[in-house]
Amino acid sequence: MPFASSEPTGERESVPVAIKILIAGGFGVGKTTLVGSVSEVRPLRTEEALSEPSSEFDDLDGLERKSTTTVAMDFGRITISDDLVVYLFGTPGQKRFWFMWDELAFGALGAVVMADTRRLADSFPSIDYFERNGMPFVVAVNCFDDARRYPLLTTRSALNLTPDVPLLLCDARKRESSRDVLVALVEHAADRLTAPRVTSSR
Amino acid sequence: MLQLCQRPISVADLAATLDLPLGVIRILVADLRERGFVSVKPPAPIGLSDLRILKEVADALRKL
Repeated sequence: MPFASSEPTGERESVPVAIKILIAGGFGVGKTTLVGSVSEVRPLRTEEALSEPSSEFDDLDGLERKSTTTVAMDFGRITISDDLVVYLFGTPGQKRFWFMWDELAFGALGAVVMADTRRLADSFPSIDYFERNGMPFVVAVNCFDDARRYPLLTTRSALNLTPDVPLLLCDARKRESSRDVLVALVEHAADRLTAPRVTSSR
Repeated sequence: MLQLCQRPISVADLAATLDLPLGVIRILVADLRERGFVSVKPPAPIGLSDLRILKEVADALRKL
């Protein structure tokens, strides 16, 4: 993402290396929660109360208590050092905001696709998107308190994930758990750098 | 905005700090750039050679 500076253009003020990570997944899967649990800044939330017309478009099955949703994007930041910063961008969950994805994905290191075992199909579009675009991604199953737990292997096959895509369980409310998901993604991206995939099997 | 831009700051950070939508910030930054008040630079690119950076990021994240 671009940096703005009021320094004179000739001045070589160093611009930090920005690592951009996308947090994707279906509507109500916990993207905002994950960004909030690891970010050092209050997530830039643009949540709106779900209105009646929105309820028509947004499938609320299993999400009866959800009363707000992210209409634009979440933004989080983790400063590694003076010249290295990780930015997290939650992609909007609703289909009608997908036009924003290409712009959000530009220059990103990789993506976390979040999944809810009660609504696995909601993650398919995100998985398809990153597979097609060749961007490294991991899938994190957010363990909601009232959702049944399935073995990872079952979830992997239900999601039709290729063996090279890391799949892990997480609790997006917990900082350590969200952190582990990000570590898994960065390691996966590093693996892809050293051994790039030649062809996609799908 | 100019105060915040004393040191390089990402456009997303500007939006978060000022609590304004990203689209609004982009227009304001473009206006300020046109008048010569700010310069806009792309972030340092990450390439194949930056495995070291990814290792550094993974290590730092583990310590969170």
